[in-house]
Amino acid sequence: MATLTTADLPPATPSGPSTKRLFGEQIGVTAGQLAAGLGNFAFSLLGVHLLRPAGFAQLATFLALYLLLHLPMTSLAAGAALDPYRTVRLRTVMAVAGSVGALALIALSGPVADLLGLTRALVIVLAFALPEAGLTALARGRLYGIGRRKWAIVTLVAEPVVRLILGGWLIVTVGSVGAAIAVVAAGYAALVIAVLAGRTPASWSPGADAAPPPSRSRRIDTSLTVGVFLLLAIMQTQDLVMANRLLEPLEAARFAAVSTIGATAVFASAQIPLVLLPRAKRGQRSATLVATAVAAALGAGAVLVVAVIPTAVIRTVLGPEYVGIRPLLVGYLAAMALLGAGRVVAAAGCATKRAAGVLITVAVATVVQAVVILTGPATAASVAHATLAATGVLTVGTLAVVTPQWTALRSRWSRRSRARALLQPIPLLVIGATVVGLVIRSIATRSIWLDEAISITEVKMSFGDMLHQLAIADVHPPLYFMLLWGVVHGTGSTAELVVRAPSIVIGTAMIPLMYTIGKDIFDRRAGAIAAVLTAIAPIAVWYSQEARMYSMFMLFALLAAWAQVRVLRTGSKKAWFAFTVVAALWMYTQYFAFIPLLVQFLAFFALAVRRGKVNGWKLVGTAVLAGVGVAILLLPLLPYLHTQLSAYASNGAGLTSVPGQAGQGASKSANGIGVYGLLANVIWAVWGYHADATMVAITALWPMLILGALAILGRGRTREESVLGATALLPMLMLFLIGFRKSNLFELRYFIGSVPLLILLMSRGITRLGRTALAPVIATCVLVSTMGVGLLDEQINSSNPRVYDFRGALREMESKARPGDQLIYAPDYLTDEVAYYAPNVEASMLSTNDIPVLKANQHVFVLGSFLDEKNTSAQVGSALSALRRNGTQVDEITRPNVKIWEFTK
Amino acid sequence: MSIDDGTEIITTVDESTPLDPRLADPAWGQGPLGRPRSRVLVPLVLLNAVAAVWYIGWLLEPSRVGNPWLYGILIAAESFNLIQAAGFWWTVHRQKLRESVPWIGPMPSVDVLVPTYNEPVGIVEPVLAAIARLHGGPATMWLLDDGDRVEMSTLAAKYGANYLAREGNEGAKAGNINHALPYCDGEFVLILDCDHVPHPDFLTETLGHFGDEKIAFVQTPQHYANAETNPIAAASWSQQALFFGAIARGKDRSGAMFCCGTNVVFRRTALDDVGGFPTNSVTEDFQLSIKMHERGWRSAYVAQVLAQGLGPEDMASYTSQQLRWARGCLTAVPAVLSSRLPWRLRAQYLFSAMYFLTGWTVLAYMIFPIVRILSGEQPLAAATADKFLIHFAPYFALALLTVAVAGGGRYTFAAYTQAAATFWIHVAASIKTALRLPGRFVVTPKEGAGSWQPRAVWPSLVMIVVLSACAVYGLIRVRDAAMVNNVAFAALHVVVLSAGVSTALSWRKRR
Repeated sequence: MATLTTADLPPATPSGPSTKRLFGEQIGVTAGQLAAGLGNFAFSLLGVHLLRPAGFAQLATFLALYLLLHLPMTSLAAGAALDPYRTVRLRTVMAVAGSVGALALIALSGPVADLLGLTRALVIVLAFALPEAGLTALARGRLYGIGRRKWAIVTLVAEPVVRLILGGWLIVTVGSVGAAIAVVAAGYAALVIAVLAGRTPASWSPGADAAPPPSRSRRIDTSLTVGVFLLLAIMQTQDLVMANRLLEPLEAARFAAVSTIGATAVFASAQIPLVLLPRAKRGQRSATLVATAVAAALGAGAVLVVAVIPTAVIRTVLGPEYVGIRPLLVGYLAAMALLGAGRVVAAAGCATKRAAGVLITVAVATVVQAVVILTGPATAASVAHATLAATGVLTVGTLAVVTPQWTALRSRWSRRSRARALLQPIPLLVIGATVVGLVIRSIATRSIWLDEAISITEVKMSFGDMLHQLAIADVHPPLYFMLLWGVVHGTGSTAELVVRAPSIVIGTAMIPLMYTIGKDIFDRRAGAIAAVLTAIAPIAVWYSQEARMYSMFMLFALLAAWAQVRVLRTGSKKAWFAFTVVAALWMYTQYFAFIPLLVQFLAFFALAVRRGKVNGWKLVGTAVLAGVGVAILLLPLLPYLHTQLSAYASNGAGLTSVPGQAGQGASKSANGIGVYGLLANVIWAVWGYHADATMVAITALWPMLILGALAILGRGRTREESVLGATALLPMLMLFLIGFRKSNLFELRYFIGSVPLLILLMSRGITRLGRTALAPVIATCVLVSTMGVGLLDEQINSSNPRVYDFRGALREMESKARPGDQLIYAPDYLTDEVAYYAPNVEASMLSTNDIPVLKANQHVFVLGSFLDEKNTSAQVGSALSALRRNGTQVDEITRPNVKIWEFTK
Repeated sequence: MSIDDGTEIITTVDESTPLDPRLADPAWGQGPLGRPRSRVLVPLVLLNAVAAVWYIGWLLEPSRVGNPWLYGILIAAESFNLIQAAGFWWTVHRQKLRESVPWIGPMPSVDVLVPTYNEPVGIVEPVLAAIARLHGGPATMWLLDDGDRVEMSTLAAKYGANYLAREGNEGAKAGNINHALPYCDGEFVLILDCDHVPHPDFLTETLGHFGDEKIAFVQTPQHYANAETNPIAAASWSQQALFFGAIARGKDRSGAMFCCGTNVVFRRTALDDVGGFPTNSVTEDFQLSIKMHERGWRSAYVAQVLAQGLGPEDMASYTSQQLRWARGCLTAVPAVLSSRLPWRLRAQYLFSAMYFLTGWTVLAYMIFPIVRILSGEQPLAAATADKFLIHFAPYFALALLTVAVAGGGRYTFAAYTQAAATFWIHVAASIKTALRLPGRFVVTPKEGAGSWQPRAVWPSLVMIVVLSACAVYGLIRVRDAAMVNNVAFAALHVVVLSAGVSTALSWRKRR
């Protein structure tokens, strides 16, 4: 952990306002903003009632353009709030630029009107809004900057008031153009109020507006802040613009509806960052917390409202064709909530000299949003998810940028020369590794695997049904499924990327976490190497792309190991508490966590022996207490576990009939489990899954293990290394021994917690390799390059026995199938897979149904997989010969490990 | 370096460190040797025995025989290794850690003999200075200069030491000491090599053990103070640490600790009883111990670093030292076999002497992949790698673990590779011994480390080239699992040899 010194913190202001007052300010401004929103809504209703439909359509378009014009100007407001003295100079610039723009628009009003589908008069009115937009934003931002928030509220409320009063008259007399004039006039009214309210009072020291002259760095910060808010405005609107261009009209309209509702939520929190900026600039950190809290509360409130809103309301308000957007609303509102919170955090970062980092983060988020929209499927859901992903990146990224530890690190850097900083790029390396890790994990190309399909089927149920189903028909604890349930129901989607998102996020989070933990347990170099290795570790990537609990398993294994080291080092209550909670969460994720946890508790006892009587007994006592704590936390799981065990006892075979994981062949010798199996699992743990032939060649390299064993001779070991080593290796060995009795239990997934620990230990080993830097560098390069090659082979090589392309096969089949066609499949456990990829095809199991008799013009498809299983191949074989007798085979779809035969009469 | 409780020991040398590492503080005492860990070692040794039976039993099944010649070589090598390992397990499973015993009564007279031949003043002077500061009674200092040099005479005078030189240098170090004995009249004789700086408590920590009238000599460890700064000395010390730690303590428990030539105190009557140091061997200390034990004298070992010397600083020094030890010990094998020692002692002497045949097994293991790659012949047949591993892996892993545990983690990879890379020394020494070719006493160089000495390791370099060429050839020819496995073995040897010889191939000037 970077040490935080007082010098690294923003100057404290002991006389800063109370939290109550800060809340008051934010709530006041937000209320003003909401009032303005309501006023504008009332104005729209007025238009609906007083104008003809064509006229209202013109007004609506005008309003959208007016909004689009003003939205980027919030960036100027932010700049002005941060640096109110600069507004005086900028005012002239903006007035001139706005006037020139207005003149240009008036000159081009003809073609622009044709382009936009507006009347020329409306375009000319819009042109008049140009100078006002920038000036109002500047003036209002200045009001925030100099602490005249009440006047800012007045300007917010004045606008709809003037619109309504003036508009009521002008709509009746002039029509839509009159309404537009009222809108622009209201803007100017707000501008006048803002300018007057922002004038320097006579009592101020002369030349206050001119002084103090902003420093160069402050000017740069202000410019960067403007950039940040400009990008935020783009983020807020680009999904709608892109959806309009990319989607089919109906989908585009659906997204527009979602976006409009979402915009309401984000509109409500729009002024919060402006209030915050001047306070945060003065180092009032509580202001940031209050602003974030208000923004988060507004966002959460909006999500909640949408979550509970009955479908009937949507049908009534938007029309029956929009009922389909309901599942999207929660996700999109969550995105808007994140945007609102991210905007506040971004403002805090800008005000505390972290504008560059914030700008980069916002830019990345904006690009992510655009790229995902452009590359994703052309559906409203996909666009909404892109925005959710981008706002997630925004919030997490800005939080990371403004976190004090990073600032401390940065300020430590800034004391050194730039060259020195570049020579010590560990944090950059970790950030880079995280980004690379995220990108790699996001490119999840493989088809949904059987277990994932089961996960999806289960989480699609209601919460209670899911828990019941898990208890009676599954063998896993519920934590991961609860998370996935939240994601699926929150987004309303079961798209591949959505169901895999929790694993991707957790897997990516593990990268910086490895750095933090590696640094804490060992040193910075070990942490950095661990982060880099984790980013590309094939198994970490593989399970970060799987909608199962193994990514979470790794995370908790890592956290539990960290907590244990902290316990052994400090013995603090906090560390014990963390260990207990993580241990319980780990057990709620996967029952196999029991084995490494057992090792960890045994390690406490073993270390107690070496601590002497007094300290040893103390350690034992506390460990027992922690064990009791874990047991208490696990109590709610007991009835659930009991049901699972009863179900397992009564129909165990049914539960275990699904293959644990494909491609275990390389780990089995002729007579069951063997040393080669152990080796194969170790190789998988580090270098990933590969084709059987490759695995045979790699395992033949086992003499290198002798070298490895010799190489650790005399390296000594610290307590931390011993504990991590035991927690990583003993579960593996225990399962290996158990594997002789029950071979399907010796499977990498069940000790996958060893993977991050092994990576940590390897990183530590590398840093201790030699007296010079050469050996560690060479070792890192060798490991990174071999793991990189392993990753590529695992992800791309279709002869990887764990790749089952159900998607490719079933989608191709579905594209051919017509109503009345039939799909029969074996083995039985493909049901969820078929339901996921071919929901519209009539499908049945081969084992429980007769082979259909082909009718004229009917096609029957036979799906076969796991054909190395005798029963399955027999079932498929007899079905094929029956169909061949009865009809003709017309096609065959062959994908990795999946085959479909097509028959017709 | 780190110790078990996780404490980091900072090993960087700051400016205040004395130039001569022998005068630095931290290596005194038991710290560098670890502690006996019988509670762990006894069960470990039992497990080793089970694993050895499991492996060797499998290996001896008739169906295992591949090429009979190669199989024979493999069995011979494995048997030799197993015997050596068994000797090691037996030696270390119980160890004796002697408590400090005070001398009762007035301190006896001690003669401190420092033989020298061609070492510079800078090496010898700290030794004399330290002897002058020895606690525990009157110690008469003797500088035995076989080089007959004026500067040594001056140095002796400076520290009040008696200076002795002789005509010629017959019998080398042993002859030099024997020449001095008639001049000495102390009850005890302390022998210190001229590069070993004694701790002030040397005598008070050792003399007490002579309370037992049958004790002929008390040996203490030979520590290399330059291990912190020189990689070759470090690897050599790491090998020494295993010997002077677990092995020497185990030998002491069996009453079989032998004299190591320096840092040893003799009872004068015992020395006279066997007629002084034998001069017909290059390892006079080993022969002397056999004679003393034969005559019923006992030995003691104090596992405390009480003197700090200098280990070999370059590969030429290391190979010359190892060659001398190998020749000396192997020459002593007939004497051990024909001695009238109890079987326990005889076995202990044999284990120590025959260690210097280990190089043959290394050579055999290196030849197997070469033969397999070139001719397809291999020692084992009808065995899958899976079967081999399940029998071999526990044996190998446990044996290695036992070395690590017994050595307290002081036996390092560098120590292993340096020993493995000088396999040819054992081969050469045993051939020379068998053919009774003449050997000569070469003083282990103490200073002037050379870092580019390919000639000192040329046999290993040749082996690296042969193994690498075979590996490449094999991969070009076939790339099936069996070939990959043999190439991996070749690569393993190449890496081990390369690591071992790397210290002889550095362009940078050391120290």
